[in-house]
Amino acid sequence: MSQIAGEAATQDFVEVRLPAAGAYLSVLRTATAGLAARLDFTLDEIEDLRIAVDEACAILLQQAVPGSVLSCVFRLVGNALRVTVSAPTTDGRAPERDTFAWTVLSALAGEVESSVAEDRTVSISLHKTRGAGPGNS
Amino acid sequence: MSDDQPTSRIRERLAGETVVVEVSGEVDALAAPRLISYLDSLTTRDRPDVVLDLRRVTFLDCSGLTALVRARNRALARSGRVRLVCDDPFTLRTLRVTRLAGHFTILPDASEFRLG
Repeated sequence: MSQIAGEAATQDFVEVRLPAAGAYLSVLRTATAGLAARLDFTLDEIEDLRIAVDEACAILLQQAVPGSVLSCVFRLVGNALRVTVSAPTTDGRAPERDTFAWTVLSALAGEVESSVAEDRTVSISLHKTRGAGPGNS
Repeated sequence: MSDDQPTSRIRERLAGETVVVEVSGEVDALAAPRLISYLDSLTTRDRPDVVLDLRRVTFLDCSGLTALVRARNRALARSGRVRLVCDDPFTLRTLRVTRLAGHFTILPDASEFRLG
Protein backbone atom coordinates (compact mmCIF):
# COMPACT_ATOMS: atom_id res chain seq x y z
CA MET A 1 0.00 0.00 0.00
CA SER A 2 1.56 3.27 -1.10
CA GLN A 3 1.45 6.64 0.54
CA ILE A 4 1.39 10.05 -1.13
CA ALA A 5 3.46 12.65 0.72
CA GLY A 6 1.36 15.23 2.54
CA GLU A 7 -1.85 13.35 1.92
CA ALA A 8 -3.69 10.74 3.95
CA ALA A 9 -3.07 7.26 2.61
CA THR A 10 -6.60 6.59 1.45
CA GLN A 11 -5.81 3.00 0.48
CA ASP A 12 -4.93 2.25 4.12
CA PHE A 13 -8.23 3.58 5.42
CA VAL A 14 -11.54 1.75 5.65
CA GLU A 15 -14.58 3.09 7.46
CA VAL A 16 -17.74 1.13 8.20
CA ARG A 17 -20.77 3.03 9.47
CA LEU A 18 -23.80 1.16 10.70
CA PRO A 19 -26.77 1.57 13.02
CA ALA A 20 -25.76 1.51 16.70
CA ALA A 21 -27.78 -1.63 17.41
CA GLY A 22 -26.81 -5.12 18.53
CA ALA A 23 -28.34 -6.66 15.43
CA TYR A 24 -25.51 -5.18 13.32
CA LEU A 25 -22.63 -6.57 15.39
CA SER A 26 -22.46 -9.66 13.20
CA VAL A 27 -22.14 -7.50 10.08
CA LEU A 28 -19.20 -5.64 11.59
CA ARG A 29 -17.54 -8.89 12.71
CA THR A 30 -17.73 -10.19 9.16
CA ALA A 31 -16.27 -6.96 7.77
CA THR A 32 -13.46 -7.09 10.36
CA ALA A 33 -12.58 -10.67 9.52
CA GLY A 34 -12.59 -9.96 5.79
CA LEU A 35 -10.34 -6.95 6.15
CA ALA A 36 -7.92 -8.69 8.53
CA ALA A 37 -7.67 -11.64 6.14
CA ARG A 38 -6.88 -9.27 3.30
CA LEU A 39 -4.09 -7.76 5.41
CA ASP A 40 -2.51 -11.18 5.97
CA PHE A 41 -3.26 -11.58 9.66
CA THR A 42 -3.13 -15.19 10.82
CA LEU A 43 -6.34 -17.11 11.50
CA ASP A 44 -5.83 -16.71 15.26
CA GLU A 45 -5.24 -12.97 14.89
CA ILE A 46 -8.33 -12.63 12.70
CA GLU A 47 -10.40 -14.32 15.41
CA ASP A 48 -8.84 -12.04 18.07
CA LEU A 49 -9.77 -8.99 16.01
CA ARG A 50 -13.26 -10.26 15.34
CA ILE A 51 -13.87 -10.68 19.08
CA ALA A 52 -12.05 -7.47 20.07
CA VAL A 53 -13.98 -5.25 17.65
CA ASP A 54 -17.22 -6.91 18.77
CA GLU A 55 -16.35 -6.30 22.45
CA ALA A 56 -15.47 -2.65 21.83
CA CYS A 57 -18.76 -2.07 20.01
CA ALA A 58 -20.78 -3.95 22.64
CA ILE A 59 -19.23 -1.68 25.30
CA LEU A 60 -20.23 1.43 23.30
CA LEU A 61 -23.74 0.15 22.60
CA GLN A 62 -24.47 0.14 26.35
CA GLN A 63 -24.60 3.93 26.29
CA ALA A 64 -25.02 4.75 22.60
CA VAL A 65 -27.77 7.21 21.69
CA PRO A 66 -30.69 5.13 20.37
CA GLY A 67 -30.98 5.38 16.61
CA SER A 68 -27.49 6.81 16.22
CA VAL A 69 -24.65 5.64 13.99
CA LEU A 70 -21.69 3.55 15.08
CA SER A 71 -18.50 4.27 13.18
CA CYS A 72 -15.65 1.83 12.82
CA VAL A 73 -12.42 3.01 11.22
CA PHE A 74 -9.65 0.60 10.22
CA ARG A 75 -6.16 1.90 9.52
CA LEU A 76 -3.09 -0.09 8.68
CA VAL A 77 -0.18 1.46 10.56
CA GLY A 78 3.07 -0.25 9.72
CA ASN A 79 2.66 -3.84 10.79
CA ALA A 80 -0.42 -3.20 12.89
CA LEU A 81 -4.09 -2.62 12.37
CA ARG A 82 -5.57 0.26 14.33
CA VAL A 83 -9.33 0.02 14.76
CA THR A 84 -11.29 2.91 16.24
CA VAL A 85 -14.97 2.48 17.04
CA SER A 86 -17.01 5.46 18.13
CA ALA A 87 -20.60 6.39 18.82
CA PRO A 88 -22.51 9.33 20.24
CA THR A 89 -23.58 8.44 23.77
CA THR A 90 -26.18 9.63 26.22
CA ASP A 91 -23.78 9.77 29.19
CA GLY A 92 -20.35 10.52 27.72
CA ARG A 93 -18.76 8.13 30.20
CA ALA A 94 -15.33 6.66 29.60
CA PRO A 95 -15.64 2.84 29.46
CA GLU A 96 -14.89 1.23 32.81
CA ARG A 97 -11.67 -0.71 32.77
CA ASP A 98 -12.42 -3.14 35.59
CA THR A 99 -15.03 -5.04 33.60
CA PHE A 100 -14.74 -8.50 32.09
CA ALA A 101 -15.42 -7.04 28.63
CA TRP A 102 -12.48 -4.64 28.92
CA THR A 103 -10.22 -7.43 30.19
CA VAL A 104 -11.12 -9.62 27.22
CA LEU A 105 -10.70 -6.70 24.85
CA SER A 106 -7.20 -5.88 26.15
CA ALA A 107 -6.16 -9.53 26.21
CA LEU A 108 -7.08 -10.02 22.57
CA ALA A 109 -6.20 -6.67 21.04
CA GLY A 110 -2.98 -5.83 22.84
CA GLU A 111 -3.12 -2.06 23.10
CA VAL A 112 -6.47 -0.45 23.91
CA GLU A 113 -7.40 3.13 24.76
CA SER A 114 -10.58 5.15 25.05
CA SER A 115 -11.52 8.80 24.78
CA VAL A 116 -14.57 10.98 25.30
CA ALA A 117 -15.17 14.01 23.10
CA GLU A 118 -16.93 17.19 24.22
CA ASP A 119 -20.05 16.19 22.29
CA ARG A 120 -20.18 12.91 24.31
CA THR A 121 -18.92 10.80 21.45
CA VAL A 122 -17.06 7.91 23.05
CA SER A 123 -14.27 6.17 21.11
CA ILE A 124 -12.34 2.98 21.75
CA SER A 125 -9.15 2.32 19.80
CA LEU A 126 -7.36 -0.97 19.58
CA HIS A 127 -4.02 -1.72 18.04
CA LYS A 128 -3.35 -5.24 16.86
CA THR A 129 0.14 -6.08 15.66
CA ARG A 130 0.68 -8.89 13.18
CA GLY A 131 2.56 -11.83 14.66
CA ALA A 132 2.38 -10.59 18.27
CA GLY A 133 -0.04 -13.23 19.59
CA PRO A 134 -2.89 -12.55 22.01
CA GLY A 135 -2.10 -9.69 24.36
CA ASN A 136 1.42 -9.51 22.88
CA SER A 137 2.45 -12.17 25.35
CA MET B 1 -32.80 -6.50 9.73
CA SER B 2 -34.87 -6.85 12.87
CA ASP B 3 -33.49 -6.55 16.37
CA ASP B 4 -34.92 -9.86 17.50
CA GLN B 5 -33.40 -11.91 14.71
CA PRO B 6 -31.63 -14.71 16.57
CA THR B 7 -27.93 -15.19 15.93
CA SER B 8 -27.82 -18.40 17.91
CA ARG B 9 -30.02 -21.41 18.55
CA ILE B 10 -30.51 -23.52 21.65
CA ARG B 11 -31.65 -27.14 21.69
CA GLU B 12 -32.01 -29.34 24.72
CA ARG B 13 -32.11 -33.09 25.26
CA LEU B 14 -31.98 -35.34 28.29
CA ALA B 15 -29.41 -38.05 28.91
CA GLY B 16 -30.51 -39.61 32.18
CA GLU B 17 -30.15 -36.92 34.85
CA THR B 18 -27.99 -34.81 32.59
CA VAL B 19 -29.41 -31.98 30.51
CA VAL B 20 -27.47 -31.61 27.28
CA VAL B 21 -27.84 -28.14 25.78
CA GLU B 22 -26.68 -27.70 22.20
CA VAL B 23 -25.88 -24.10 21.38
CA SER B 24 -25.22 -23.16 17.78
CA GLY B 25 -24.43 -19.99 15.87
CA GLU B 26 -23.10 -16.69 17.17
CA VAL B 27 -23.33 -16.06 20.90
CA ASP B 28 -22.87 -12.30 21.19
CA ALA B 29 -24.41 -9.42 23.14
CA LEU B 30 -27.61 -9.82 21.14
CA ALA B 31 -27.97 -13.54 21.82
CA ALA B 32 -26.57 -13.80 25.36
CA PRO B 33 -29.60 -12.58 27.35
CA ARG B 34 -31.71 -15.43 25.98
CA LEU B 35 -28.98 -17.96 26.77
CA ILE B 36 -28.59 -16.54 30.28
CA SER B 37 -32.29 -16.80 31.12
CA TYR B 38 -32.40 -20.26 29.59
CA LEU B 39 -29.44 -21.48 31.65
CA ASP B 40 -30.85 -19.77 34.75
CA SER B 41 -33.97 -21.90 34.39
CA LEU B 42 -31.82 -25.05 34.24
CA THR B 43 -29.83 -24.13 37.34
CA THR B 44 -32.60 -23.28 39.79
CA ARG B 45 -33.04 -26.80 41.18
CA ASP B 46 -30.65 -28.75 43.40
CA ARG B 47 -27.70 -30.58 41.85
CA PRO B 48 -28.17 -29.49 38.27
CA ASP B 49 -26.04 -31.49 35.83
CA VAL B 50 -25.75 -29.47 32.64
CA VAL B 51 -23.62 -30.24 29.61
CA LEU B 52 -23.23 -27.31 27.23
CA ASP B 53 -22.38 -28.54 23.76
CA LEU B 54 -20.59 -25.63 22.09
CA ARG B 55 -19.32 -27.49 19.03
CA ARG B 56 -21.60 -25.60 16.68
CA VAL B 57 -20.86 -22.18 18.12
CA THR B 58 -19.27 -19.99 15.46
CA PHE B 59 -18.67 -16.93 17.62
CA LEU B 60 -18.33 -16.40 21.36
CA ASP B 61 -17.59 -13.08 23.03
CA CYS B 62 -17.53 -11.96 26.65
CA SER B 63 -21.32 -11.76 26.86
CA GLY B 64 -21.46 -15.44 25.88
CA LEU B 65 -18.60 -16.28 28.25
CA THR B 66 -20.48 -14.46 31.00
CA ALA B 67 -23.45 -16.73 30.38
CA LEU B 68 -21.21 -19.81 30.75
CA VAL B 69 -19.58 -18.55 33.94
CA ARG B 70 -22.91 -17.52 35.44
CA ALA B 71 -24.36 -20.98 34.78
CA ARG B 72 -21.26 -22.61 36.25
CA ASN B 73 -21.44 -20.52 39.42
CA ARG B 74 -25.16 -21.10 39.86
CA ALA B 75 -24.72 -24.85 39.40
CA LEU B 76 -21.80 -25.01 41.85
CA ALA B 77 -23.82 -23.05 44.44
CA ARG B 78 -26.47 -25.80 44.21
CA SER B 79 -23.94 -28.67 44.39
CA GLY B 80 -24.28 -29.29 40.66
CA ARG B 81 -22.01 -28.85 37.70
CA VAL B 82 -21.77 -27.42 34.20
CA ARG B 83 -19.49 -29.16 31.73
CA LEU B 84 -18.62 -27.99 28.24
CA VAL B 85 -18.29 -29.97 25.04
CA CYS B 86 -15.94 -28.16 22.71
CA ASP B 87 -13.52 -29.17 19.97
CA ASP B 88 -13.31 -25.91 18.03
CA PRO B 89 -9.78 -24.50 18.25
CA PHE B 90 -10.99 -20.88 18.22
CA THR B 91 -13.51 -21.38 21.01
CA LEU B 92 -10.94 -23.33 23.04
CA ARG B 93 -8.41 -20.57 22.47
CA THR B 94 -10.90 -17.92 23.61
CA LEU B 95 -11.48 -19.91 26.81
CA ARG B 96 -7.72 -20.16 27.34
CA VAL B 97 -6.89 -16.52 26.59
CA THR B 98 -9.61 -15.36 29.00
CA ARG B 99 -8.27 -17.85 31.58
CA LEU B 100 -11.63 -19.56 31.90
CA ALA B 101 -10.59 -22.94 30.50
CA GLY B 102 -9.33 -24.11 33.90
CA HIS B 103 -12.68 -23.40 35.53
CA PHE B 104 -14.60 -25.86 33.37
CA THR B 105 -14.45 -29.55 32.60
CA ILE B 106 -14.12 -29.52 28.82
CA LEU B 107 -15.06 -32.69 26.95
CA PRO B 108 -14.00 -33.25 23.33
CA ASP B 109 -17.27 -34.93 22.36
CA ALA B 110 -20.72 -35.75 23.70
CA SER B 111 -20.71 -39.47 22.92
CA GLU B 112 -21.31 -40.45 26.54
CA PHE B 113 -24.59 -38.48 26.50
CA ARG B 114 -25.98 -39.98 23.32
CA LEU B 115 -28.51 -42.25 25.02
CA GLY B 116 -31.10 -40.77 27.28
